[in-house]
Amino acid sequence: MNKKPPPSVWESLALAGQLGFTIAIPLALGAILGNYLDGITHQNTLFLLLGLLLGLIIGIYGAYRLFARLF
Amino acid sequence: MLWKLQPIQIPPEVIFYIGPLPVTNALLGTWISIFFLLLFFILGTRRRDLIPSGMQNAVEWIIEYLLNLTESVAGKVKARKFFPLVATFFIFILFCNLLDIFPGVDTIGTVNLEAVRLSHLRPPTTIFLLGEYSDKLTPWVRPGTSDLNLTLAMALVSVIVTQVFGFMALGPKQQLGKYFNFKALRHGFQGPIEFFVGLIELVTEISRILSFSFRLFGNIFAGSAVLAVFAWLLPFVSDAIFIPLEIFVGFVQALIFALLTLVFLEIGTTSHEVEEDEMTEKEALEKYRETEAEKETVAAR
Repeated sequence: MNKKPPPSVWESLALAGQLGFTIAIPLALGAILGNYLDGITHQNTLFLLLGLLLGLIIGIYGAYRLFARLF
Repeated sequence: MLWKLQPIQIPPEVIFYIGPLPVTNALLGTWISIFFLLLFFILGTRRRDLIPSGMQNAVEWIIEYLLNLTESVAGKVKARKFFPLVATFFIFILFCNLLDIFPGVDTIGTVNLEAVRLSHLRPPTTIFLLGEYSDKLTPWVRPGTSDLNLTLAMALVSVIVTQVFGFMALGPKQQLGKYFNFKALRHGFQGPIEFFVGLIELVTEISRILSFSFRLFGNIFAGSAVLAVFAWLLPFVSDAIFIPLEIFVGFVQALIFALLTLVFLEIGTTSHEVEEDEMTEKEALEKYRETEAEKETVAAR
């Protein structure tokens, strides 16, 4: 059941603009953090991959939270 | 060569000092935007007639349009609280962005004597810098939003105000419980996952500072770079294409910044307890069914 009217064009545009950042920034931060941890622990790519995975999870959850309000 | 490409650099340049404080060209651009903004609104609201005309009409139209937009996202009650912040963001960013297309911005300034000396030239003797001198300029004015400092400050304001409104609407216990969900740890198997989700929420809040500041800065800085490059590649013709584009981008970016602030304010002040929402939805569905059944019985008679 739809409680709210559909968002206006401008709101949709704003949300679409935010979607990319919501996914990309945690991924980039995770990669940077993982790379840094690899450097200090002399691992090959272990923390990089973990950081990317964590960033991906955060990005997907953030995208879900961004649009969950509308449904 | 008649002219060279202007150097495109990210940090703004210091043009003078007030005491020990450096004033950059982007800061001067911000002040000019503020001046125009004040001028526009003081002239528009000087005579408050019941039947508006001229400037007052324009100002009232802007405010009414923004208020309607705010109400469509946040509802009537919350919109009154959020409106001042969101409308100020929109109008201020719009004025800063539109400074980009004014003649003289990025093109009037002092000769960069250091650069002239480094390329073994004599100091220029004319007002117009042509040929070898055309890229040795320190502009006096640069649009405020093409400097990362201003956009970062506004993003910080946006995120901090979201938190403050969250504390005011939900109370400190529930607001902090969103991020540090110790209560969920008692739930058994699902508990750690819910606790982890709370921490993820905290990270997304922090990463929003980056996304807000970089989007606005990137769009406006890239816009002024595009204008500079195409003024060099294809002068006179390209401006007819890119200046309208810059007006549009400036408008859309201002609107996006304001609307996203509004959307996150709305999300931040809405209770995160999912069960409550489900209950109301179920109740609404039951009510809907009851009314439908009543209608059917009425129709059957």
